[in-house]
Amino acid sequence: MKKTVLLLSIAAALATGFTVSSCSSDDDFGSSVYQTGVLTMNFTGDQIATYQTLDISIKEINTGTITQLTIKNTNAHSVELPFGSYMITVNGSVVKTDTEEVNVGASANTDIKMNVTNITIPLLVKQFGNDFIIEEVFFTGVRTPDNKNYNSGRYFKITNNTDKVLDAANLIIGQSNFLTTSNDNPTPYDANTYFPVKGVMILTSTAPKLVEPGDFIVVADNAINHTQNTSTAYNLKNADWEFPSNNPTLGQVDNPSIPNAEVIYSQMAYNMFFLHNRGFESYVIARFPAGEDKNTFLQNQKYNYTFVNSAGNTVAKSVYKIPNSWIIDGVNNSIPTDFVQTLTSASIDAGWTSVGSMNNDATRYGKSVRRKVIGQTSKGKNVYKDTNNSTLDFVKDSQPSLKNGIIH
Amino acid sequence: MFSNTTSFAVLFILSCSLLKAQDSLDFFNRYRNQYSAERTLKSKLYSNPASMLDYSVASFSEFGAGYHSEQKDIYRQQLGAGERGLEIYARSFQKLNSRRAVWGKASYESLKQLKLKWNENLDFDRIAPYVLADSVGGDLKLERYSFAGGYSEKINRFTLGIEANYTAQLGYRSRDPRINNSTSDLWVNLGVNYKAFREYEIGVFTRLNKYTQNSSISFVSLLGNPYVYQMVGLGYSNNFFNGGKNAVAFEELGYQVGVQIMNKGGKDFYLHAMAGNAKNTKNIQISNPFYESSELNNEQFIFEGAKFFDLNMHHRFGVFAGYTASVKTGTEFGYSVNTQFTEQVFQRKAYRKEDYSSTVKLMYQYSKDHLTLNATPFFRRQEIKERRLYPVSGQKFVYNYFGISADVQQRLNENQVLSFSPYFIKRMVDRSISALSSTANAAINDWIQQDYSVLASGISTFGASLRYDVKPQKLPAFFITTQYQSQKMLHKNNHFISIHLGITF
Repeated sequence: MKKTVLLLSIAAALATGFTVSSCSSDDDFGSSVYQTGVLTMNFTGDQIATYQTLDISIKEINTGTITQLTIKNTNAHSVELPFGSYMITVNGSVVKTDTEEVNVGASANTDIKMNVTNITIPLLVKQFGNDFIIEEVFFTGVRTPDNKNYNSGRYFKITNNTDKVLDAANLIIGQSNFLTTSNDNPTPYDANTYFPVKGVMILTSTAPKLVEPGDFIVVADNAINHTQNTSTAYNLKNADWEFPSNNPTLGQVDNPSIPNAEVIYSQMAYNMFFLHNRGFESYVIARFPAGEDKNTFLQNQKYNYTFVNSAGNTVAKSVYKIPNSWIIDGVNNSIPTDFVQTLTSASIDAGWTSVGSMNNDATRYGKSVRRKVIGQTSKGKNVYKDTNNSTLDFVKDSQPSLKNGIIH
Repeated sequence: MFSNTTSFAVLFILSCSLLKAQDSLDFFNRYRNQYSAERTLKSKLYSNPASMLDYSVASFSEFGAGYHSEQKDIYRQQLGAGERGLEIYARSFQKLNSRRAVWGKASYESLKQLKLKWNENLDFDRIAPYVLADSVGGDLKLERYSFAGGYSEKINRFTLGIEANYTAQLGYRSRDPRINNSTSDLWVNLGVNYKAFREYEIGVFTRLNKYTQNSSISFVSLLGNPYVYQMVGLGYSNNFFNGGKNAVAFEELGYQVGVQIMNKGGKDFYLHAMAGNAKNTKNIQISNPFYESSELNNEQFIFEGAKFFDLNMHHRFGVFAGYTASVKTGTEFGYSVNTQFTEQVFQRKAYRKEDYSSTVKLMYQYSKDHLTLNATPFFRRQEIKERRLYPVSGQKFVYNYFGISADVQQRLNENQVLSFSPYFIKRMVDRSISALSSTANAAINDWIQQDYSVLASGISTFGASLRYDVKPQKLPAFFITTQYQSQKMLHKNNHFISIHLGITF
């Protein structure tokens, strides 16, 4: 072999190297990625004449990307999206056949793994019960000055956001059975009809508990002055109801001068109603319709479901459910890093609020979720935002309103 | 793994048993044969085990221990702020006769990698971008064991070679985030050379690789833990698998095939071309089962050619030209949250990293009885392009490198040698393009921008190593060597220093 041939081949290889390096092989990098499908959404609803505005938020679970779009005066829309697993949330306003303009909400899930996917999304009229609303939930608790957990001093603050006097006696507070941070895919499950609960308490009272417009009631886990136990907790001795623990090791914690809420169903020992301190639950307030009471509830509202656990086995569970028609307000709580699903129908709450930015956030203690104030009544009482979308209605990581005691 | 003291003892006994009385060869000549700068430049040729028969005309061995410390003031966060640690090793090449050679090496390293962040795995270059990450990180303790052995034999016109190489690593951290990583890397190389005409040889070889890495992360603190991400490149992460303290397993299978043409065992000229493919699959464990989250496909191509000229007994010239290409494509899998059992919803190629590099080197070697001088200037042009889809993000860099390395070996007297090897490398950025898009997390965006500024900056590196060898009577030769390197980037300095001592025989 001639040495010149070899030298030429080296030079040729070098030249090829330089030219090849400047062009990149795209081959199938672009084309096989374009696995997209067309999602056609059809919105339906009872007695709707015009679909005025619908704000649609579509989130892909794997990549976390959110597609936002707004459609006006139409009830169908097609959008091209890459293959994936999607959650769709809708908030909007429609005009009914009786010319009444109402707010609507909806949520739906779908997988896009084919060229064409059709989904029908029923829009639900947002229930504004002209009744109490949940104004604040304080579920994180506080830490003592030497950084220990203080598991008491939590509360619900329920406000009369109407212009009428309302009776708070025998209101129901429900604690969600499922969590907003994981989806077990239970069967059967219809959040648009009922709200599964693992804890139910009733604000029992033989006499009416009348609440003026703009005023509120406090339901505390223990209606005592907690500042005597730890300086970082709050004085809740003027609460309207309490749900103290019956655990004998804690001793007598009940405040005899404050009525006890009756926990009619709980999965915990000692019939406890214990709030999830990282905020993974949803809460609702409801009223018994005429002819219903706690006995008919315990008799008729059982909820039996099955799901597949992580080991692959089908597990059956039995809890209770509150029909959506009984519910007057609800709030979903989660955390931004772990949010998977809302637990209420979109007509009750289409969004979610939170305390803390991640799981086990050490800065979440001593913070609550509070509703936004949008104005004042003529008597100087706050008017709260209520669009049945707690993403917009609530302020995350708020300072608890009862930090300095219960002041009406 | 057997205890460290046992391994040291075994290595020492092994090396002593290979001791041969080679006083017949002049000490300086043996030294410059063992530490030939030209052989180091031709290292690609020896990835074919059949070519190892011509590695050296004489046998030699080295047994040593050392310490090194690298301190970086400017660095990529996923690669850490430096490393320090101890090493003990033994390596040997034995030319049994003109037709047979055997070689082997064993080493143990105990290292501490400093201030790693956004990367809780080992072997970053192999698995990137699919790493387990969190915003805290920390120092990582690492133990590395490596064994290799090979054999080459000439039968008529054929030369056969076989080599196996195994490395195991254990990386851990005993404070939150507590990680536990173990890797296992096995290479088996086979080669056949055929003497076609006079001393011209054609060779074919194949290299097979099996690699695994198992990682787990846990937190003990009751006060909380940072969010754990499953990164997919350029700051983005897999939302479905994020969060949680899931165990991760990587498995890689790869092969390389190559062709060589050479004359006089590579002393006159050689051409070396190799193409390879490796597939690295990442699985994440959720509760019990493992789910496939990504597949990284690495296609490589390496070419190198060299030609040598001898002017007379004292002057030798060499020209090297090389080209390497590596294209990594990541396929990602998506799962559904809307089904009872977790089902796969899509599979798509969403990540690509291309790395092309062309190099030209010139070698000049001057040899006399008491001195060998080797100077090798080089020039390299490198293009790196990294991009993602869903969402779109990318960056591209084009670098020009130039530098020179020298090696001076001076015979002090009949049993002492002094060796000095300085080098200088300059990286200049010809072009840098940032098409990076911001993620929802401010801390991650800061990290990606800092990474970009490190990748888009020029680097000046200079360093030198100094080595002293002495051969007492009736004892093996002792050596002590120290190396220092300083790297300047963005007005900050990175330093490296090492010291080794040992014996050669």
